[in-house]
Amino acid sequence: MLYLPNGDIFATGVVDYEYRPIPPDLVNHRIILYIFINKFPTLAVIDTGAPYLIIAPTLAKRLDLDPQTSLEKTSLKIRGVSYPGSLYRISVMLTAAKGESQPFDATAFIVDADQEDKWERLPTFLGIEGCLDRIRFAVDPSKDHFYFGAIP
Amino acid sequence: MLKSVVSPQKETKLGHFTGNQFREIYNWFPNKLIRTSGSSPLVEWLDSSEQETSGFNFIFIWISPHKHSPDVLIPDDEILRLEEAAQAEDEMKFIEASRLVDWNRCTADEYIRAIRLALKAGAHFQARKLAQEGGVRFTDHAEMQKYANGLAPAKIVSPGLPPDTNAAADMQWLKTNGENYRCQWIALQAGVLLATAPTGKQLLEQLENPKDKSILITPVY
Repeated sequence: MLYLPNGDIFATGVVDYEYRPIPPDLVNHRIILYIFINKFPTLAVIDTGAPYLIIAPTLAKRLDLDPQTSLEKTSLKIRGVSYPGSLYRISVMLTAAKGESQPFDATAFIVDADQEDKWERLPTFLGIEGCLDRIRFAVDPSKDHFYFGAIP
Repeated sequence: MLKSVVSPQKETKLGHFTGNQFREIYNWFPNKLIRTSGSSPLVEWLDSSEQETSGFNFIFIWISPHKHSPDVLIPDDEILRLEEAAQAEDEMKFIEASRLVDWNRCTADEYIRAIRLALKAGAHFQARKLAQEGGVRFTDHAEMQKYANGLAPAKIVSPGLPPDTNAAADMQWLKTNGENYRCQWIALQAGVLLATAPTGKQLLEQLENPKDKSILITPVY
């Protein structure tokens, strides 16, 4: 797929992404990927400044996780607004159109389900710290291709 | 670093220090008179009354009350600062306060307390850092390991899997039809539109089985 100069593999999978403003009424464009979280398909936005995988309340309802298994109840400021939620360890998969899809475990901040109205159309976010920090990735903006692979 | 020389001796020479370190010393020796001279401070465990009577060419500073016993490894004022930052949900204040703590002397329970305070302060990156440090130091402490694992970097748990054809079909549908459904919520299954609604809540209510893992439920961006 993609290789480092020494011949080691850099990326084992590639997938098309959408590049659109999030939410749709804003001008800042984001890379939107199709991923799986605990085997549920969802769209997620790459946010390199965010900690964790941040899971939107509508998806949180579908995941229906047991609060007893959460690491900690906490809150997270997203775009200047504080949202209550909980931290969990959760399974994620970057899905490939060609090559290999890559499953991994990540720390997730799951926004409380009762925040759905306040959250509105914000997406699920893929942060670096605790989420993509063991994944190499590269973007080809001429083709809207997202390359990825696990760091050995 | 300098904290390690604290002892109940009459006089302890701390050596040369910079302005920033001086502030740290100030923090470390509350309830004591600190006598300093130039860049080679002496710390004396004096009564406040001696402040007036000493005729030496030294600076004396009286610092607010503070416990300093072997049982309290994070001194009360340091914990207080961490707690204040957490209460105020002030990430920067928490990071500043945590720099003054000598983490090498902390117990696993103190690490856990600090991690929880960091999360409350919104200092998530600091919480992760403390969890990793604590996890390495206290390998037999179950609660510490829970935090270390929960806040650890992502972990690759299995080799790569084949591409998902349903995902490709859904993405193709979005590229082809997305423009007509902007700002609406949609339910897609293998590239087939099942339902639409103005909100996620309404869409979940429409679906017979919203927990079906083959259905993509999303706003159209």
